[in-house]
Amino acid sequence: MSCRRIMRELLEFFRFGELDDWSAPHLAHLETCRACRDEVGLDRELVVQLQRALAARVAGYQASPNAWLEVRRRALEPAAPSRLGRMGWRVRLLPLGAAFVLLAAAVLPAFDRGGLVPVSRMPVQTGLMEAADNDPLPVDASDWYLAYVTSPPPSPPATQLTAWVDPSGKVPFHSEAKTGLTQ
Amino acid sequence: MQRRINTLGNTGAQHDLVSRMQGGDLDAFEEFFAAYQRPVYLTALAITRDPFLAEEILQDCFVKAYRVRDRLRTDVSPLPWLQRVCTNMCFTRLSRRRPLAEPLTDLIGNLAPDIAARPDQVVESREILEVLQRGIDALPPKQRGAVVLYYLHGYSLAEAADIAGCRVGTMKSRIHYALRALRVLLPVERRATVAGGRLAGEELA
Repeated sequence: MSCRRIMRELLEFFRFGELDDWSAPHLAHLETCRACRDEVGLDRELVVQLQRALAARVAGYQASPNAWLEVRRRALEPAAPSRLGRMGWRVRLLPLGAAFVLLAAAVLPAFDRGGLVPVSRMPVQTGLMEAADNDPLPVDASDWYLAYVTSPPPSPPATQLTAWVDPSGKVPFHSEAKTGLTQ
Repeated sequence: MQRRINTLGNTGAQHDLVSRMQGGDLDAFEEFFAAYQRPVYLTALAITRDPFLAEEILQDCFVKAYRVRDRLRTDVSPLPWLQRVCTNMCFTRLSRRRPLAEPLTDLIGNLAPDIAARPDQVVESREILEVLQRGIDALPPKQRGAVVLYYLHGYSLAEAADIAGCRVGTMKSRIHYALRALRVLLPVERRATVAGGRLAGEELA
């Protein structure tokens, strides 16, 4: 075992009082390795100093003699309603109602589409492309196509496409006719 | 370190005390306060390092205990519950206050010139203790709570984990990281003194 692993495990054994037969190899290593021994020593020293420091934090302090009287006075006085409690049940239910509306708005469209079905349970349709290739045209589409092909082209409206021809064979210029100029 | 055995164990007196308190007996509440105020106060004081704040937290704890007395279990000691309420209140109050503790890196920086200037005085216990005090203040709240429960009160790992509401492994981890952070605060010369071989002869024998 490496020193690193020995130290990691051994420090835990020492810190948490878990020395037992399983830690015998670790202790044997300590007897031969000065560096590991120093590390353990430092850790033990730190714990001792830490306990002293913690004890010094609280040494000489105690709760004041009036603490009990104050606790009793406060415990017996009616608890002030919380800010939320003063607002009444309708106001307290507002966030819940808003959350419900948002949830409904998110979920209901899914039911409209046939309910919430997990993706894993959705029916898988295979061979859709082949079916599309072999399928004839829909009946109404083919009928429309035949009617389109066999029918004559629609005649344009007479008012727009019929040219005016003068019986004399002359095609007067539109502006001449209007202005009365002659050649 | 000598661990307390069954520190938080239940006794018939505790069961009776809580039951009487639930019946509205104020004398029982006073006994309840007298029985548990000391460890709760020490926890609050050790975590906050402020006697006034610690007393305020102590009062809040017991007022809360009285108000929810009907929900207190009579089959187990109320001390873990009290300690948990106390540590949570400490963390809440400390989070509202301006952080007083210096970061650990600053502490190390402050310590280095002292080692060079007055090495004979650095090894004095008072200075080490003061550095450690500031180091404890600089620990994250959960690690500080773990150190207080384990090393000040002497609770077992399981008891400390029960109070903190975490697993034993989590409690071990918090203590490990707290010690790792505090370890760098020990002056280098102190380390050399400690590592002089005292351990091999005395503590491992």
